Amino acid sequence: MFKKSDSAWYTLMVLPGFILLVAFTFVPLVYSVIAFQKFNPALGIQGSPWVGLDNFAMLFRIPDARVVFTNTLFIASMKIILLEVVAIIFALLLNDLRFIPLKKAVQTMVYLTHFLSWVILAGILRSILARGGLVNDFLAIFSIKPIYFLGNPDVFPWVLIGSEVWKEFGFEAIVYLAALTAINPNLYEAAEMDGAGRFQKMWYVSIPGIAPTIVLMISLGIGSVLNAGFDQIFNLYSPIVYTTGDIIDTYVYRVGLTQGLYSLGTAVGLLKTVVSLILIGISYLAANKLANYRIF
Amino acid sequence: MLQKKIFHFLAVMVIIALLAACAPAATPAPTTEPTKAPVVEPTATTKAAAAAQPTATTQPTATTAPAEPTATQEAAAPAASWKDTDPYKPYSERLSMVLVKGGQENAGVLPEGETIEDNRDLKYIEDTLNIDITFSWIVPSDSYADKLNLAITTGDIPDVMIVDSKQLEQLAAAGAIEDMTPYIQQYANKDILENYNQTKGVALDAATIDGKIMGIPNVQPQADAPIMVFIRQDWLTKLGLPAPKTVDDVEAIAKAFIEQDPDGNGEKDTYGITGTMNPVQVPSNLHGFDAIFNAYGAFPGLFYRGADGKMIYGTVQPATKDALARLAQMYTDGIIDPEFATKDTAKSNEIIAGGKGGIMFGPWWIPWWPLNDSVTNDPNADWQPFLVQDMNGKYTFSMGGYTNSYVVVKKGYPHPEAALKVLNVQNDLSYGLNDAPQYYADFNSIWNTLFPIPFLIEQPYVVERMAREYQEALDSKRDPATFSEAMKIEFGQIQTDIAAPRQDVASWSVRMARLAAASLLAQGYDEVRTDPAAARIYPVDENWPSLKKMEDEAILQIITGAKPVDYFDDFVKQWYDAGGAALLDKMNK
Repeated sequence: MFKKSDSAWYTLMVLPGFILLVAFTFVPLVYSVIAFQKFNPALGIQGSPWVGLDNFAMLFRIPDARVVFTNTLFIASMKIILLEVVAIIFALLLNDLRFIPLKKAVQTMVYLTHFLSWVILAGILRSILARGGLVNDFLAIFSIKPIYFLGNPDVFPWVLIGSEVWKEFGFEAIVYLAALTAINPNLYEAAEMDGAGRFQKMWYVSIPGIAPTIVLMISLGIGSVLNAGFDQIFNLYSPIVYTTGDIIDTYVYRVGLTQGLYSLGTAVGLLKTVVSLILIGISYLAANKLANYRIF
Repeated sequence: MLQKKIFHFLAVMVIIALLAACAPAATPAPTTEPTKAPVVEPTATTKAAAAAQPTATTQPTATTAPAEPTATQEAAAPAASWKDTDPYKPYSERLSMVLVKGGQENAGVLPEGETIEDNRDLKYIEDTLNIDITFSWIVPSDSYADKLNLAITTGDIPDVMIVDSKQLEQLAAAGAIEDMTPYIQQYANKDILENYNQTKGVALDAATIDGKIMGIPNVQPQADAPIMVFIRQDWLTKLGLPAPKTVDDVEAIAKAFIEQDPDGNGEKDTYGITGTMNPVQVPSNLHGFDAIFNAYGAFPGLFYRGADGKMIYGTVQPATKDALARLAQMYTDGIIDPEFATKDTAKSNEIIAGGKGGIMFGPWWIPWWPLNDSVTNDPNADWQPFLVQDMNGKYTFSMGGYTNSYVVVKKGYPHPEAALKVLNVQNDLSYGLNDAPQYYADFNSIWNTLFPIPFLIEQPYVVERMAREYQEALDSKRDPATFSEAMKIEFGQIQTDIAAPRQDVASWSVRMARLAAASLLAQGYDEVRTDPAAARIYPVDENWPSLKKMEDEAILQIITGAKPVDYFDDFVKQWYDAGGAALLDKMNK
């Protein structure tokens, strides 16, 4: 049914995506050279003076860079870990639900938040977390003093992590639910014969069954450990929480675009790209070694 | 990485667009609302003599006072002849001028059928000078700076544009803009030149790079800087409280407003002192605590010479710690809005407009916005302005510079002087000079949407001078018939509101701002300013953004109690170590 010439058509279907990739990823990489210049927009890339590694030297001198790198690492890795833990537990519990309509309804409801943009969710969060908002009113029942969720530097990162988990766990769980359906039912029956209860079945059958998926998801997560979520943070943060909530991407945006320090902003971004590349390499190797997952 | 930036930029544009769409109809900014430029460029000297006293110095000669053209001027220049002078001469062939503009969100304030690209004032400018003005883009005010940076980066710059001092420096270094030196004296009209003179040359100096005037500097009315406190007199009266004089008084009033249910709805739902995520912002700030810092003799954000003549930075002085200690105490006591640190101006304005707050810090013009919303919603809201005394019983305020933005002309534009001519005609439209028509009753609220180059070169002390003249006219010491058209309209509004207070909100705003608040300033006050030499150094210092960030965080964290007051000492040390000391050294050289 397939002719040899068909493959040309399939290749063609890749083209739009490929053009976008080149236009928005490879071409801009060329412009990263401004990280090695004292870039003056009016002079352009050809005209701006070269300064070698000055911008990177500055990067390591100013306290900001350290702060944003640590914040990014902390927020992103906590997000990955907690998101997987919650998604796995949720998938295991949901999988055990016998009443199918309820199972479907719950699943739909929890992954709905995945499709809302952070602009909208941030607005919702702002009112829920405000003084006199839903959460603080609830805490007041237990005589807990109102918490300044978005203005307390100690609490703010956990708001980011918590809201990210809340938004994404339903969607993340889909992968695990799929993995769970692939487990041979005979194994559960055998376990039952041996007198295993519900939780024992989960522990001895379900979890080992989805272990490769878990390892795979976490390995792939390593690659994005420097992406702590620009959209979310940009819509929720303010100067008072910069110490704990400012991440590489928001910093690059502020320094590069708002304050016009193009070269410094690009230097930070380039450094992030290099570190990310290394991490993606590690995650690829880890996925290959631990979960036997290969792309190439 | 550029793709990341572009993506972020687009993301922000979308966010802004969405927010703009969700937000309630934007209220027009009043005449002198400062541009939202994040970096402030104060200039001029420390401790100027009492600002608004002068009759001799700031009172310009009659021929050049924009607000009151006199017989001499008109006699010397008969009706038709001003058009033949250099500042106004129309071009023989229609000249094309491509501009860019922020303020798209305000388009709705224009009268039916008029737009930013097509309105009567714009048409008057085009017809007077025989030029054809088009816009290559119009964006919301908030994104103007980003969009312009992007346009400069891609080399797609308009013929004439408004830039900040950093962009001025970059464009000049790149040779991308025209040297305006040969044109200013010849093509700026007399009013504008006189206004430059009143800054004692500081404004033009600010635009001078390597001996050449590379841009046309603005001159800001100095009245925008002193932060006063507006308080609802009806609430004061109801609770039997006296008018405030000091920080203590304001705090006592705030406490009463929180606890004693001034709005009488039986619920404890009123705020004391409002604030925003910018507790200090020179040269002007809404809901800012600047006046409280000033009362403690602290001038955060300013570089000025200390008692020993050495340059010092206001934020790291001991007085700032005293003010912070006081603010932190107020915050703990619940006097200040507990969530001020995550609120922007719009959010805090809601408290005022919604009748839930009776105290607002801000410059003299806030009766135009946002206090007008409060009065619209509740005609009993009798807001009155007060000045806060410092610890010596005097009034001293942090001042901005005379200049914070510049109009520049693209290199190679055939008629660089055309930019000055447009500004001349805009000036005429503002003050009803040279027979310029006064089409709009609410001109003061919409001028920056009407004008193709929303840019003011004002008399530095025009606000105080007008207040004095209005008062004189009310006292029958001056004939209102001598006022310019624009002032006649305002004087009518003032009389309307005196006859029937708060019945017409537009009239009330004019009376409160132009007369009540501006008269307080006209009584005089001391000024502290950033040294003009320092003003050219710190914005381009590579450590400055980092230092500024450190400072903003420290102030907010100390006030909200996230850090103890003594953390201030650590902050000061960090500030000096992270480049602050080097920066001051550079300035002292």
